[in-house]
Amino acid sequence: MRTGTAGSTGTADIEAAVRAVIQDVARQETVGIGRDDDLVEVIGVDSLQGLQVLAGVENRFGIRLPDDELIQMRTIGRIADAVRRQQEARVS
Amino acid sequence: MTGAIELVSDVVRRSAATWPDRIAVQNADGSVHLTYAELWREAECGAGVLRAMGLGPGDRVLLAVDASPAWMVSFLAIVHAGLIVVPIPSTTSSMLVRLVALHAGIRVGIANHANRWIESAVTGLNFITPTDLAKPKRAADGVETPAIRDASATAVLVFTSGSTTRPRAVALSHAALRANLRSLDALRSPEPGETVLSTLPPSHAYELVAGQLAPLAAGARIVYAGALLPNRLIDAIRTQAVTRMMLVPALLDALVHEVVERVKNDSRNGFRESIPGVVRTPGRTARGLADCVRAMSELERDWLRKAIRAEIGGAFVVATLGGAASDPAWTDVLAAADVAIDVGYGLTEAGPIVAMGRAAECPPGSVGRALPGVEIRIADDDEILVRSQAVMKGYAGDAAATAAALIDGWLRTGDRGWLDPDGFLFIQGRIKEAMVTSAGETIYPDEIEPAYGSPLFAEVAVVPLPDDRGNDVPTLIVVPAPASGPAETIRAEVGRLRAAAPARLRVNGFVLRSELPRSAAGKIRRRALADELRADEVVT
Repeated sequence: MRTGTAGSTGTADIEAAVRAVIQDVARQETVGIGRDDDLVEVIGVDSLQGLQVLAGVENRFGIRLPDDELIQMRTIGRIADAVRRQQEARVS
Repeated sequence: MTGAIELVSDVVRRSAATWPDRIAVQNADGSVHLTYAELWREAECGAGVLRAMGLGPGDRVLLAVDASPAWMVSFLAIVHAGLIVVPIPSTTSSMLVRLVALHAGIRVGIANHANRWIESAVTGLNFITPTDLAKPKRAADGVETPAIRDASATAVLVFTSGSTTRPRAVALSHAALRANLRSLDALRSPEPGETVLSTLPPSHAYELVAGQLAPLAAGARIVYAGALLPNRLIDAIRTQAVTRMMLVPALLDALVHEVVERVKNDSRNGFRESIPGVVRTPGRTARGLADCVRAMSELERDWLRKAIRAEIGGAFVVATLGGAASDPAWTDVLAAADVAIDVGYGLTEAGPIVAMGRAAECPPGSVGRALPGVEIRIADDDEILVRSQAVMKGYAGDAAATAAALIDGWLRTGDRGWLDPDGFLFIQGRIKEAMVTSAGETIYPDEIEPAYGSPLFAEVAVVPLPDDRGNDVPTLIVVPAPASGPAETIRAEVGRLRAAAPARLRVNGFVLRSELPRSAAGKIRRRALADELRADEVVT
């Protein structure tokens, strides 16, 4: 039912997709945000928006992010890495 | 409910006798589920373990477990043992935990293993996990404990998110909690066999009473949501056949947009070209969505209802909104999916629920009528006063604050409001300085102001600017220091301080003033500042 991307995607593509989700939820440009910048500190994403970003990422890639890591997923890099790990786990 | 029930835990004991094999509590992912009989058995066992640790009536137990079946087992174990529960969100900062433990005189803390740090945060704390409650040291520990039989004893100490320098512990007795449950039951409560999705922290009195104890008293099933990702919540509503949930307006907003996105993207919905405008270009606000729904034809509405039901399933009937003011337009939006909205009003000190009503049956903007057994009076200065058996005993260890809040049996709520001739309550704002954001978070000006100290500012004050739903947007008032430079310098300085402040202390924008109005005693008159503040003068 969800429009997930099958197989794994390149790191750059994953990051671009994560940025697109953030832009959609927070309605802010993400061009100036570094891979390791804290989204809460840099663009003031509140906790609910943060959850919406993670929901958007799960929907976009058709994956489920690990529960015990959710609280640390406050940077584009961490989210993208988690997506890649989930994709690899599924492929292998 | 009969007179034989004494303690708040006995509400669940009765349900266990009536519906032993029904599921009482479970996680959304199905990982843990307990029947009523199992829940009560584990609670009794846990009570025995706590008593075997040497705890007795009046002792306080910190409860910092994640919202889950283990939370409810721990809660029931503590109150059944005649002890006092001090529930705090499992995400509480270590500083606040220390403050709470010190204030409440905590000897024992129950928390998940992941929150083991609490042990080192509180000196002399005896730390146990929910697993320990299931391990009686002797077989006899599991049997019924000599619980207190005085229902006027304190069952729960709820710390309100008051100013961080002075947390307040609201003492609610067994009798008070049971009184509020009786009131809710008389008006509206789930039916046996219903399923309630729990999304709020059970450490809040509102969720504890209306979201946890009321469903358990009624023989319903509680499903703990876990992480509040909107996509997972919608999946849980469908797969668990959830019939109702309580949530803050900001979460409702996120869930509606998740459903709208799904309806747009769901290939089963076929004929994309004929998708009604509401789904094709959804408004971002409740009002925008409501206008779209109203403009639809009967055929389009029928299509939309089926498309939404494909996502959320057929069971969901009621969303209860609380914690913050909500837009009345949500009623029309959710009506498109045949989902009703309950509105209400309450505060921890009132035990907690004061008024409730079905939104479609209330005048727009009202929060319903007083619950049965609850009296509401409006004071001369428009403050809402409440009297009922559910009202708190007082603030633990703070006689002065208690005396100021409880006058001749009436609770001063600190909120301003009015009653219409039919008894419907309307909330106008707060008399006290606390602000409530759209996320339902309470924050005080004196928590935020220290984050905006600068040599460029002579003084600052934080006041609420109401948003279009009546929630508070913290706004900074700046009196520039002499020779502080052009307005752009002030703006850059506010921006710098804002970025450096923790997220919850961030103001939305600022305005410049030449001085702050003060009372004769020298106190900043924030109310006067707020009254003259206009949204269009705020620099963001």
